[in-house]
Amino acid sequence: MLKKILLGGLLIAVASTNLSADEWKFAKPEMILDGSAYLYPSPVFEDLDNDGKPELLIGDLRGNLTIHKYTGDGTKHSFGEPVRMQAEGENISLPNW
Amino acid sequence: MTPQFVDFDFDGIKDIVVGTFEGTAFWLQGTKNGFKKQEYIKDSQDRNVQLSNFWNREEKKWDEADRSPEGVENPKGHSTSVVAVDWDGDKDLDLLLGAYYSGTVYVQLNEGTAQKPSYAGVNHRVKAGGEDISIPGGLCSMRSVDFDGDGHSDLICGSKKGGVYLYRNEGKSGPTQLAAPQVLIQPSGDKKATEASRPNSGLHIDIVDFDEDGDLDLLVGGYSEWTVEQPELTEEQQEAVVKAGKEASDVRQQLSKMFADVRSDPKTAKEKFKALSESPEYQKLMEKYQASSAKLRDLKPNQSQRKALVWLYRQNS
Repeated sequence: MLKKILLGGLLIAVASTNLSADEWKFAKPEMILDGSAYLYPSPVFEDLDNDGKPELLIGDLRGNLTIHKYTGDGTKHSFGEPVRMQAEGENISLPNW
Repeated sequence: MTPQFVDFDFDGIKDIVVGTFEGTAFWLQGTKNGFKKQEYIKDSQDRNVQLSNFWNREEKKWDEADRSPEGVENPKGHSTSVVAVDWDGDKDLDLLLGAYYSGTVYVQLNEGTAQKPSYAGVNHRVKAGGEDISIPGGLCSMRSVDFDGDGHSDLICGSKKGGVYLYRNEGKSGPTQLAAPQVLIQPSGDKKATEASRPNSGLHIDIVDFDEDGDLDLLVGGYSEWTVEQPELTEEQQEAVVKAGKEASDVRQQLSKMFADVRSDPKTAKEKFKALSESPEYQKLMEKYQASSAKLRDLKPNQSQRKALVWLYRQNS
């Protein structure tokens, strides 16, 4: 009986702290954008102009939202020059830092 | 700051929901002609949705507010990430708030409707696997997405210290029930990297099927850290290093005296700093400082390198 209790406790302990990464596998990371112009870049992919291709939007600690259009060919990835995202004709600037 | 594209007002057009370092939450309404200017997300008492710690803009100081449930001690928490998600399964959007330093996650429920939200003004700790969520190293960003393809929104969190964690939603229907975390990206403690090979800190994430192969990949912004070997210096170069170092130190002392007056009164500091920074004397000193620093960097490059980069982790199905 004691052995069953101890074994049960061990199983519960293992199940509740399962940090195993075995289930999800990722390839080696690829650097797709030099973000050194940003502070703490926060990237989002979103098709902003509804052309079927997502743009790369970067939020950052300065509170700006900046758009990079996708210029790659699907195999080799590249992104265009940064353009500040606007709302009602003005650059978006959130009170971040 | 992790912008989320979501139909926040249920009008069929995507809006932007975003948390800020100020500690508050904003939304920008999407329209057929673009986005409107940002507005604070407010609760039912017309207060900003937030955790306890926030930047008080009027008084220009870090401040505290109580948003804890009745009878619960107000936890210290500074929210910098916000995600709108239907947490309780009632078909409207609730708000998850992530605490940057402590790595804890809170939920503020919408007690109104989808089109007319009414946020409760009270934040409850979010649990996973029966325990309070606590992202190791602090929490930078969150995403709510059906990562495992079972039809329910899971939670994925990016850490200050370099890891990405998945909390699967095991709720069959109705309220979200998160399981204990699984690691998608291990934090890296590799101090021997000699080039940028991955993001190491400040991980801001997005989840997207980038290569359109049917599984979800990770888009990660953050700081990569690596070490470069320092070259041996000749005697002449070593003397040049000492001289440039002394020049930089002398300028710093002069600048320090200038700033002492600027800092003496916080209410006038901003105007005084603006006047100082436009003065010819200050600009001349800064040029001298930058020249000395550049000489030092050329002779003795920093061994520790740090750079903000954006990375793609493709999932292997």
